[in-house]
Amino acid sequence: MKVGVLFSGGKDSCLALQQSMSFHDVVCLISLISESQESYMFHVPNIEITGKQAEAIGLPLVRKETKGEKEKELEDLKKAIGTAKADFHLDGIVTGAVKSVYQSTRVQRICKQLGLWCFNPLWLKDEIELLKEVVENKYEVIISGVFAFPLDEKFLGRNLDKNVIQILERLKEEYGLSPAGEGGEMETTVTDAPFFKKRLEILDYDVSYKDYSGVFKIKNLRLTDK
Amino acid sequence: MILIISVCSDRLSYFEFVKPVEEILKKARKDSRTRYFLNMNHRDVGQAEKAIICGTALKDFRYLNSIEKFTWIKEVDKPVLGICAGTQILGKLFDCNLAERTKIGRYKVKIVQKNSLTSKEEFYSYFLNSKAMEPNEDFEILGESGNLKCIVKHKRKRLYGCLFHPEVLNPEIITNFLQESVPTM
Repeated sequence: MKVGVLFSGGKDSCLALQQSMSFHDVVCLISLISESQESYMFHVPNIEITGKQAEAIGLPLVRKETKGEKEKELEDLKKAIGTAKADFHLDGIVTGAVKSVYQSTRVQRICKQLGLWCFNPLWLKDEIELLKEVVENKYEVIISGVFAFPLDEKFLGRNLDKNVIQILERLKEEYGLSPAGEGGEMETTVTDAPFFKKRLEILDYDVSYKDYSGVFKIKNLRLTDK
Repeated sequence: MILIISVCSDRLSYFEFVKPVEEILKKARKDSRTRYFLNMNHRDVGQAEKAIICGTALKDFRYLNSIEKFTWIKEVDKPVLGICAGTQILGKLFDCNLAERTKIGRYKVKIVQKNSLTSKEEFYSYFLNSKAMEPNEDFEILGESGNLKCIVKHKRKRLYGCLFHPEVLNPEIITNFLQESVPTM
């Protein structure tokens, strides 16, 4: 089956991509570039570097801009998936949805309308297990956005490793925080993974942060050999 | 042992529709065995205390073309919980009509008859179906969502069907099914 993967460049879409590669022919990535910081559907921090990530992975990217308004962004997503279906003869779509019924419902409906299979290989996966799988698979992941108490400035730009997972596990127990950020508490950016042919080297960045809300924005990067 | 039956013809769908059910059983400390429906044998059924037939992707209908693989459900007296596709299978086995009805998303379910799967009167559930079993006189209706008969039970056998996916928002439906006592034969 030829599939396209909805790709935000974060840990979930990369893990879903890796899993789908074991079963299907992944022929493209699809990214929605949202102008809104409040997007209901799409990952925002560093979304503009998905082109470089796709290049590092060695897959073509179908990219579509969206204003990120609640239902309008769904029309844009449908257009992007429709374009990918036509250009790459897709049979199905893969997403990195884990817990969001809102997101999965919308993507399932679009796939139904377009006659495509829909796969969500991380669906309902235990969040700590998911984080451990990312680290055990030797992904290089930075925390690129924090949006909830008690995640503060110290997390921004930090690599996801066993120590960070332990901290997130503790914050889950103390504050009920979703450790993998499935409620939008945190976003991540993947700079390397086993299926990346090249890795991303961050050359310049900017950190903005206020009151448990902040972004680690990658301003300049280059692809380097592994 | 609880027999978990996968009807996912695509292996990638297993992670979405079967693994979450396996995890619920694991948390409930229930011994389980998962089998793809085309690879099941009499021994799997014989050793099972109960069975759960999981759902699958919206475009996947291979199970409806191999309904003879499920005739054991009519022949043995074992509790079975059908989830989405599993409900369609129960319906087809007992000659119910399967209507083309698409329902995708989170919708309210109202309980219309007291039952052992839930003690709630209403709750929200996650639906992902394009066909709906229309229960005939062999079945009683336990729950509805709009005009969809979404929880059913066979009148004489302990065969339950949930057209929605309880593993997403209502895992207690699965654990209640597991706790229901099995009558002495």
